[in-house]
Amino acid sequence: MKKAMMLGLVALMSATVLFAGGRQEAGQRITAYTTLDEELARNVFAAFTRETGIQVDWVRLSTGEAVARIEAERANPQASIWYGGVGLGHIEAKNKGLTTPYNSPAATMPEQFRDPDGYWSGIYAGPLAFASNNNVMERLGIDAPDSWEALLDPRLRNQVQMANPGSSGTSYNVLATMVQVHGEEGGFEYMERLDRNITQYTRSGSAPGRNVAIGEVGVAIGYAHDIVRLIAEGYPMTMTVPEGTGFEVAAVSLIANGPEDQQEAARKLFDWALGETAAKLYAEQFVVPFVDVPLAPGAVPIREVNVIDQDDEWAAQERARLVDKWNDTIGASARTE
Amino acid sequence: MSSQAIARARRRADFAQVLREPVVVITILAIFAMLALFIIYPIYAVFRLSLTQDGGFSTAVYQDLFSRVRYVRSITNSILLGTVVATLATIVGFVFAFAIYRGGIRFRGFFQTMAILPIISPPFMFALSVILLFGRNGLITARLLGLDTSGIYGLPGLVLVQTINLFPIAYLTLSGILQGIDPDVETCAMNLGASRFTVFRTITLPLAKPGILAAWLVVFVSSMTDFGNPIMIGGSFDVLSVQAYLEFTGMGNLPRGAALAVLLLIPTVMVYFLQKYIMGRGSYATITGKSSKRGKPNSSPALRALLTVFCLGITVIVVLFYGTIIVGSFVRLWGVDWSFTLRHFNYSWDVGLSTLRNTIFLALIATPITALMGTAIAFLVMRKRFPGRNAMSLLAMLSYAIPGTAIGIGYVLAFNVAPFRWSGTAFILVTAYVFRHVPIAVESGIAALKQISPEIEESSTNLGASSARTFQNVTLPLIKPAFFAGATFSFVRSMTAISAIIFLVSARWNHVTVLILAQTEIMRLGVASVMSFILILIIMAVIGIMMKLTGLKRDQVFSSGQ
Repeated sequence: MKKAMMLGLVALMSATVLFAGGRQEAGQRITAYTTLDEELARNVFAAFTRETGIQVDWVRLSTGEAVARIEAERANPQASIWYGGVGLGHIEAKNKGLTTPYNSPAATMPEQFRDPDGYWSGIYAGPLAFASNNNVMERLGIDAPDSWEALLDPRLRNQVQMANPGSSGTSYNVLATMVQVHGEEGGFEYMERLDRNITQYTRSGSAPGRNVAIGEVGVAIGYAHDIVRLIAEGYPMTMTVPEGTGFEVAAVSLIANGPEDQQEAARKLFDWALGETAAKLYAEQFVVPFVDVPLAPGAVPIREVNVIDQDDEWAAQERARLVDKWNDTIGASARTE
Repeated sequence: MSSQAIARARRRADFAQVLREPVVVITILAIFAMLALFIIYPIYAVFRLSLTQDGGFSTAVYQDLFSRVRYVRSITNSILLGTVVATLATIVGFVFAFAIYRGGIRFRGFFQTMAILPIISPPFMFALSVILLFGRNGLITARLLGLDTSGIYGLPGLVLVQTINLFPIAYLTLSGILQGIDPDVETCAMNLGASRFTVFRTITLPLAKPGILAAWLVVFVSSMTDFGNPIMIGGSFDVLSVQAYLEFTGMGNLPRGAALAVLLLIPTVMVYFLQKYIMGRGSYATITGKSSKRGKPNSSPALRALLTVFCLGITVIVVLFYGTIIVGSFVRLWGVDWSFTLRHFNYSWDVGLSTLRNTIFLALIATPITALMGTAIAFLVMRKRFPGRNAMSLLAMLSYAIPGTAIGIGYVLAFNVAPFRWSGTAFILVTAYVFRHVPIAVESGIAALKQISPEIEESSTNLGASSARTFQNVTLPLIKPAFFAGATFSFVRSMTAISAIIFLVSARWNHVTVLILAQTEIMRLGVASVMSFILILIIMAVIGIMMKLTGLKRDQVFSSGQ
């Protein structure tokens, strides 16, 4: 009996090994990390599978998480493509040697929105904007803030929310924008003053917008397309785009040394991500893709906004240092109320 | 011969005995190999990474950590939280145990259930309830009291949630202790003229003291290693487990994440062994002659009323927390639009079905392995004499004390490079479940074997049965309840795991708790409620089925949850 028990144990253990290793199935299958909004990711991958028959296993990770995950798995990459996520995260991945170049025939967007060496390609662009909850603004008796300066209004104390610049690409974009506009000292001074109005730094960049939608906080800093979508869902909120704002170029990259048998399918997905079908799906979610497709009502094309001359290469190189500095100064001041 | 020489000779004889049974030898070696690979090696990898810089040994990572306010504060915060929660949870657990086993309150069965119910909840579920009840849009804070506060995020919310989550651990430890105190002693004291309070102060409390301390320490460790609650409602109250996770997965600073995990690991392991030592040292059972074991309740009607009110108050909170999750599953948009809807179920079905299926599937694979291995270890440790016996039980129990965060980081570091390339597979998740939860099975196996006199087995052997046959016909039937109780509880733990698992999930193999966390993060609280609700239903169904099939009593299942 003991023998049988041990045999059973060994058999079960080896069964899991076999079953873990033996998942090369007949149909093509690829693994993707995505930073697209969960709902958009579902639509996009479902459409891709319908069109090509290639199954996509995916996890949603924030930009920071995606870079960290790919780096941790460097010796044995699990996924072959990183789809979506702030462009400077993709630049950082490139600088760390985590991604691999691919000159997609579909990469026809303006040059500033793709990597000169072909490491990443932009899929859409969107400006940073503010979301304000109408009811909260009414209660506070103020207008929705429409400039970076207005965000510092003392009446907005404990009413503003943004994500943690360490884990969220969106939020690092805010920090990098302020440093580019005001210089490092001025930028940090601004962040420090802003900090007085912040309730909480969330982990994901899209959380503050949702919190404004349901009235958990008054104002959020986020990407315009996230805010427009919430407004279209019927939440009582207003979007304002400040003069001189930063923007994201959501991008797609192939992961270096991804699983051998996924390479071809991954390139197919890469091309497809830059194509028209995908662009239409992005547009449905209120983003403005580089491919010319009908836009959703309320969507904000980047060319209609006064954006700063943003240097993503610089921002990517400085990320670790700026985030540490932010953590040491602003992130270190506790607000536990 | 000196007594030492005799002892040595006996050890040698025992060992020779073991060597005569190849199956036993192979099992021992296999278990040691697995414990080394799946517990020691990953932890070694965490230490190594945190102590390496530019290829050489260096404490630079730690020096950097201690020079930054943010990290130092997360250490003090973790300790502060652990201390407060351990104290409160021990008090609540003690009052419950006292009320039920000494106070003579009514509806004992009901209160017993309420005192252990929180143990089966996923570790973040109450945090979700608290957000729904006390958040900015909370039912109680915003609707009933008209407050606009985010005060629940941070220490107050965490204390509330963890106290409710963890007091059952204290309750289980302390109810065992209180039941072990012979009521006759108390009755005697009262007959001799001592007041109820004097009896409590001079007899009950001193006898329960080691148990109280042990319960405090266990809760302290559980609070420090908790990840699910602080990541949900910690707000800007940084704690070590969350910091380590954010550094490791969010900021991509792997050495710093590893170092934070080490800083979390050292106190928890120390406290854990301190607790083992306290529980093992003092015999807190009372030595008396034949006892009637039916003492009168040591309480006056007024005290009984007070105890009942207290237990009822905690019960109301527990019920409220569960009820909130259920109601939240059906509300269109909490705090904004209270109309009834099933759309969260639809969405959860779309998003979560395959993940839920995978979670159950992997837990079902891990459970029998965990139970078999735990029972095998318990049997070897209790019944066989071999060198390294103590090391085996120590190693097997160690993963109880190691924070999930450290195990998760360790598995990522250790099992993503040749020759152990397992990241992204189901295998790594199953091993994580097995080695995280094997102490549950070992503990219940040891507890069962302790109650079975080895003489029963010896008689069987003396009558000519082989060692294997004895195990099959005598030992196994006797420890069967412990086996199934351990199995049931490790299944529950596998289903609700998050702190280690969150590092190991992949596109192919996600875990439902990680999915719930993601839904909460993007404030889809309705969907998060539905998924938690369904998870609880599945767990209750499995416990119910196991109890039906094996004839286990509720207490037997839950006693392995300590």
